[in-house]
Amino acid sequence: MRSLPINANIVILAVLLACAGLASPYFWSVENIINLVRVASLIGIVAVGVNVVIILGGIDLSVGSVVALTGTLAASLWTLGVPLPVVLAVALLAAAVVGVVNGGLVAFLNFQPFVATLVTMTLFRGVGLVYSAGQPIYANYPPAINFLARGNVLGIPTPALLFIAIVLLTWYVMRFRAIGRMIYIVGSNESAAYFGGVSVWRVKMFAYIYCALLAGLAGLILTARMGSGEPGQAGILLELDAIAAVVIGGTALQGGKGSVWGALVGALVIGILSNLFNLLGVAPEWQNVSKGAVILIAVIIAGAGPMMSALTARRSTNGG
Amino acid sequence: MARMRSLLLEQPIIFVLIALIAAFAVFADGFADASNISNVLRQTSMLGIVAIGMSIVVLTGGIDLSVGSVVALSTVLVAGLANSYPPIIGINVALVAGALIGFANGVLIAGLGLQPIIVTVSSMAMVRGLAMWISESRPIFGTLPKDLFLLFDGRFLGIPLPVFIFAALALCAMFFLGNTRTGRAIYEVGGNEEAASLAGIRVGATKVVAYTLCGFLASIAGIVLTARMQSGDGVRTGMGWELDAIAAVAVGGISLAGGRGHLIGAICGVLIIGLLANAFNLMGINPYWQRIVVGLVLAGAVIAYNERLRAWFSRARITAAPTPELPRADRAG
Repeated sequence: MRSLPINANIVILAVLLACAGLASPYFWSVENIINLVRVASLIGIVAVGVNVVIILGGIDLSVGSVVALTGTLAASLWTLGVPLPVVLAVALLAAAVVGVVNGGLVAFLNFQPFVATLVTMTLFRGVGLVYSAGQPIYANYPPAINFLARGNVLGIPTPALLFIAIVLLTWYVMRFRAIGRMIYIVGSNESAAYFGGVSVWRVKMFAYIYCALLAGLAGLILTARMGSGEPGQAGILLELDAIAAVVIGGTALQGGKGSVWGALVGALVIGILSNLFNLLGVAPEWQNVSKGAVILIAVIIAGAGPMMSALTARRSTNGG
Repeated sequence: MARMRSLLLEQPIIFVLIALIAAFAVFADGFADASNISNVLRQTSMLGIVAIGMSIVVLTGGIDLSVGSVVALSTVLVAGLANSYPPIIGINVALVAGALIGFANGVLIAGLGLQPIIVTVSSMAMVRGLAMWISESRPIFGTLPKDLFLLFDGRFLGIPLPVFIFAALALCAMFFLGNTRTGRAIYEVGGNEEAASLAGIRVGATKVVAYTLCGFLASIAGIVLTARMQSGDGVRTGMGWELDAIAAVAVGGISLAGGRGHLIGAICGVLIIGLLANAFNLMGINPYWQRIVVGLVLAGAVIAYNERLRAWFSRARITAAPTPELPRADRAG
């Protein structure tokens, strides 16, 4: 009974996969699956980070801006002739800075996570735009960066491998490491965690920095794929897609519950939807409508599990 | 008078607004011109109307991300219907549509107990899709009647009509929140839902009213925007307005946890954001700096409204007397 919400979302995924195969014979072709996985991995990497923050009981709206900022930084540094390791380090460092600011605002200044990350979302989008004067920066990336987006290992696209590695790492951290367990505890009852001796501010810092770093990695993949850094356009509305993926995956926004597998399923659902829309040539207006509908249906189904068990529990106590 | 004084004390944002106006009047050439001021107010009034609705929803402890899409749908409905019917028909259809979308949000949130962010993200996507479908993803120009443009260009008693509408709606909303049973219930629901429910407040109905008003107000903003653009557009209009409105609300010291804050703060927040944009424009500052400054203003405002800091300040001031509960002017309307 406890795992019902996640099972429900796997059902959605299975139904979607079956329908996709029926709707378009091209869906199950190898090229298409690889293409789908590339798209889903990008949003999935971001969603895994947002998932961690949401389990903490927070939210992160700044991921889209982080994606834009790291991409812009990487592109501009590379065109300036900075060596590759420095480019990567600076880009990820910038992402970590956003995470530190998010975590600091939430943990020390008591900002509500929504407001704190709304601040950094606006602020760092602005920083990227001011830095590049609002212009996209075209970069002629070396093979090592291109490999991030377009390469593959044994036929599996690199972004997908990275995504799987991140899912496994996050699963391990959240399940077996102290910090991961503490994220769950803080998410379900912050003051209990505090009185139980959890260093709440450290846990919050960790979660926001982790989330920002993953968004930074997604930013690197995206800039490699586009061959440019887009300060204004990259990552717009990505935060909402990531939150949608997390919620479709069955993680409750109240915090304290959920698992990384949910984010995986959610990212796949969103990836399959957009892939299918492209295959079928669905007009963008209906893409919007059905995306909204899927989110709504997923939360209603995810909510139906606990609601049913609450109802049956009440009935049994009444009867007994 | 005492009420006025405590309102000013509780709303430091008013001083920030006055200080900003004074600074811009000195440093930005042409800022203090009557025409410029009335122009800024006209441009900000639409986001202001959206922010009124957002404030009401945020006060219940909720959030509405669908307002930008409702604005877009409203422009499409007004412009689309104005081609074949008198404009009043389109305006009424837009108002009804906005209220219905808000009502649906409210029912899903209150009735099914779903999270406001999720429900309104999904209606944001769906309503945007609807607006694009109706307009076939193209701007609707057509033959809009000149009377419609008066909504933006017209004046009433010398005040630009959009500003007049904004001010009238703001006053109505302040009266509603401060002096009506439902308005007070909105504060109670946002402050402590369980206590409100035990005190006999119909929590669900209150939330539905709040979301319905929010959708309704967003569609009014869309109608004024149609008059301004002299066209309807389902694809681009209202993009990001939900976050701008939330930023204004938060700048104004309305707590996103619900139950605390005053509408006057949100209105100052909208004006600050609008004035910043205008002054930056006049001073020839790169518009991208705007975002950075808005982000900093938002952070500064939240720090200024921080409970702990304010409690610390008031304790520092009143040392002798035992400190009772701070007078909650925000709750007294």
